[in-house]
Amino acid sequence: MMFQPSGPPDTSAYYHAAYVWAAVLYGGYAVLLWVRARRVRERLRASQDAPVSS
Amino acid sequence: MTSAPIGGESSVPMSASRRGPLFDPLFIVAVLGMVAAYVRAIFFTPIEALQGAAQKIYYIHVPSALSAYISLTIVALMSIVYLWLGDERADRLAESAGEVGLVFLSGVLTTGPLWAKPIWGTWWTWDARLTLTLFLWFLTTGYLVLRGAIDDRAMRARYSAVLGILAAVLIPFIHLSVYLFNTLHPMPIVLKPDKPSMPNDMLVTFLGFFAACTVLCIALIRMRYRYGVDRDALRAIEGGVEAD
Repeated sequence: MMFQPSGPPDTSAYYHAAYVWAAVLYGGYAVLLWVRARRVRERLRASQDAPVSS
Repeated sequence: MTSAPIGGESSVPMSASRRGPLFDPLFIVAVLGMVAAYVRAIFFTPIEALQGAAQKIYYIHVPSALSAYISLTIVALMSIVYLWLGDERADRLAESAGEVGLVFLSGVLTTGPLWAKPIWGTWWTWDARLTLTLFLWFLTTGYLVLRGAIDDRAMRARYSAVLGILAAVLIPFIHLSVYLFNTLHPMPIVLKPDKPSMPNDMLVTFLGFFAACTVLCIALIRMRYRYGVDRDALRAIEGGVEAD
């Protein structure tokens, strides 16, 4: 039986997984940061708009 | 001539309308850069002859590591500035860079095993570089946990600054660990004294990812810093009530 040279095994699933995971991780952190920032800013706006009691 | 008060941003709450946008414009640039880098890596970069398609993980893994190093170097530098000048803006920037650095380190520690499994046949090995990077992840997590555990602002800033500096000392050891120890981890291909041992097609993809990741890192730090300014202003108004 003759040895049939072939290319490297198909490992594309690993790199697809890595690319999707990186996008989810970095995108997810950015969204989380935006949610936290928006929440704090709303509270800040509410605090600044609240009437000052003497 | 009067100078600005040290750490004056939180002591004088700014009106909400004068604050910057929640999403930094730089973030949009970073997203566009990342999309372009993804497209180039997936569709226009050749597959490496020996490792196959899994080698493309390199393009996201190494720039993530470099972004983590940049973030944690900022933590150390700003910690030194805080210990020297007592400027709370430096402490806030260190905190912001620490959190972003942890995200990028998490990216490194998860994309690495996805490359290791098809190439080494195992997800993880207690190799010097892997172990030191995991140790840095725990140190950075500890840095953020420490910040959350101390109520007194000055004490929190001082203690975490010391930890932030110590964590950054690990970075050169991680980079040099492949020379210092007998490790499985590949030697540097780009960041080495000689010229990069990588074909031009692949090098351009790597540099594109590196640029996009660096811009993303800076944009996230800026967004996190802005959040910190708002949070501290809210604390000042509410009399020390935590805003998280």
